[in-house]
Amino acid sequence: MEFGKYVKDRHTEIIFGAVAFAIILLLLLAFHTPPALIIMVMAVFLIFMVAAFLWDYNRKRGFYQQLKENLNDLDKKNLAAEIISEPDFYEGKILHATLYEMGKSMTEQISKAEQSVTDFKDYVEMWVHEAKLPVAALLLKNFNRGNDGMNNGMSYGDDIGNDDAESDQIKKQLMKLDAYTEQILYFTRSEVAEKDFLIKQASLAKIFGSVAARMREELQDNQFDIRVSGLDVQVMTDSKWMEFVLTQLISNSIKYGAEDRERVLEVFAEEKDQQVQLHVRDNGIGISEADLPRIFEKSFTGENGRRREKSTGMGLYIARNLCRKLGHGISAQSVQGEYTEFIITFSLNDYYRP
Amino acid sequence: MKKIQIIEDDAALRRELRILLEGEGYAVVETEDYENLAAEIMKSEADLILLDINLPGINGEELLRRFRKEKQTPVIMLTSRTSETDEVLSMSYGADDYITKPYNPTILLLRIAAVFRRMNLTGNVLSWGGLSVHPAKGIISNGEKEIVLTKNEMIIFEVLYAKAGQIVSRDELMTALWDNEEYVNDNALTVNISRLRNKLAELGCDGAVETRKKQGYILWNSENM
Repeated sequence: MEFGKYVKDRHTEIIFGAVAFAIILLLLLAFHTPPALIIMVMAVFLIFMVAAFLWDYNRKRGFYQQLKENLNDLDKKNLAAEIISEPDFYEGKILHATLYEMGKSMTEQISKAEQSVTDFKDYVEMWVHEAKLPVAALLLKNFNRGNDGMNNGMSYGDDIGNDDAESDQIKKQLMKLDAYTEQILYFTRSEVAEKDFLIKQASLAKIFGSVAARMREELQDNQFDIRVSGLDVQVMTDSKWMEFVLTQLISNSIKYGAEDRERVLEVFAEEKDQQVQLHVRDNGIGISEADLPRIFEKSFTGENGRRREKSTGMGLYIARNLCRKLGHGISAQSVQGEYTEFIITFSLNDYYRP
Repeated sequence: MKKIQIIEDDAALRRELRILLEGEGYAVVETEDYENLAAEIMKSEADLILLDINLPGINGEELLRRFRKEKQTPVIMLTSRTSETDEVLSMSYGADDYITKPYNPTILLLRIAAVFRRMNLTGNVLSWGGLSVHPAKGIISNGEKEIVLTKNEMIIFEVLYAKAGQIVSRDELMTALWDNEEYVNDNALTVNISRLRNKLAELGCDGAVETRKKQGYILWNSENM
């Protein structure tokens, strides 16, 4: 609270005081009061006026100053009134009560909103688990049908007959469906405040292995050559979350492969400065310089997303959020027309290191 | 014939699993009483149990924990739960493997075969015809001569061996290799198979691996050779 502004705010009272001062002075002069008495009366009047003024300024200043400081220091501003003592002047009491009520209602609303997000997340988790059952049953049924064909001596293997082509398509569509349900699962997991992961020691080779095994057909259909090296490293992470992140990166590599050369996916890890860096590098069409800084933004599709397959712009956004929550860094480098490389950085000196 | 018990409350999935496993030559033991799974699983005489986690009235992990106190039958968890916590819990309660739905049927069959293979290894040696095979050491020998197989060749041999006398498609071999962190391409698979063939020939097993055009490969039983 600034003194100047306080004075300015109370100018009416000051004017009234000054007018009273002038009237009393004139009255005293009119009644020929002795000058010594006039000076004494006016001095007493002035001193008490100023004292009352300063006293009022001081007690208000104490309250407002504390309120202001709380507001600056607090991360959650709605709690500012909770940690201030009630003032001893009337207006302050009104303000304090108001702020307190507002803060309380805000807190209630926040916790309601958080609860409903958590409920929604729980529902999504359950829903996704349920949705996976029919997908799993259909995939099996599709596979069993194909096998039936083989047992009856029908075409199988490299010789892709109509039946096989059809079952292949069904399988691909089902896998896509599964990938979409995974995406919503991890989206909600990444948005919820509560900690929903388990950090433990995990081998990068194993994490990449299960992603690769699941994506094998897609990678091989697109003629990818996989080169891995140095993956025998242990990092601290949630391997299921990491598998999802890698799946997003690799499906981008598949989507945005270059047509004019043999496709290569290089996955390698290096250890340096208390960090492990996992690199996922393809030799695809790359990302334009203008788009590169924005690829992790929500719903960003960019040039590639528009020109090629339709893209939701969510994969990398979710991947980045998951990495953030796990405490890993994620970044991308690219030269358009040459390559795209994603780098995930795992800290080795984390407090939870074994 | 190996008996596999399926504990899965989704009827459609159970039916397809049964078809899959029977097609592969396993006998399937159905679970009758889903109300009293705890008692039901204890009576199980199967050689392997496929266990779901989300079961009516009981959690599969809890079921596994109680089961493990009494029996050592291998258990593979099949679940649609994709959280690290579930996997860690299941493995610490003694699951032999943990596979998430929807699974690749070929991988599921390979993992089942792998569990049985681990059980059957007597002193870590497979015997096939006059040959003895040490998967862990990567060595195959006919008593006089020892030959070293690469990791890829051994994986291929093991898959062919597990289905000796039956056609194994290239797709199955490929799946097995990738499931073991060997990301070979089509050409490399062909090369690996011909190397394996040559090595077997060196030990006097010419023609052990037969090519079925457009279908796959067969490893002949020692008796048929």
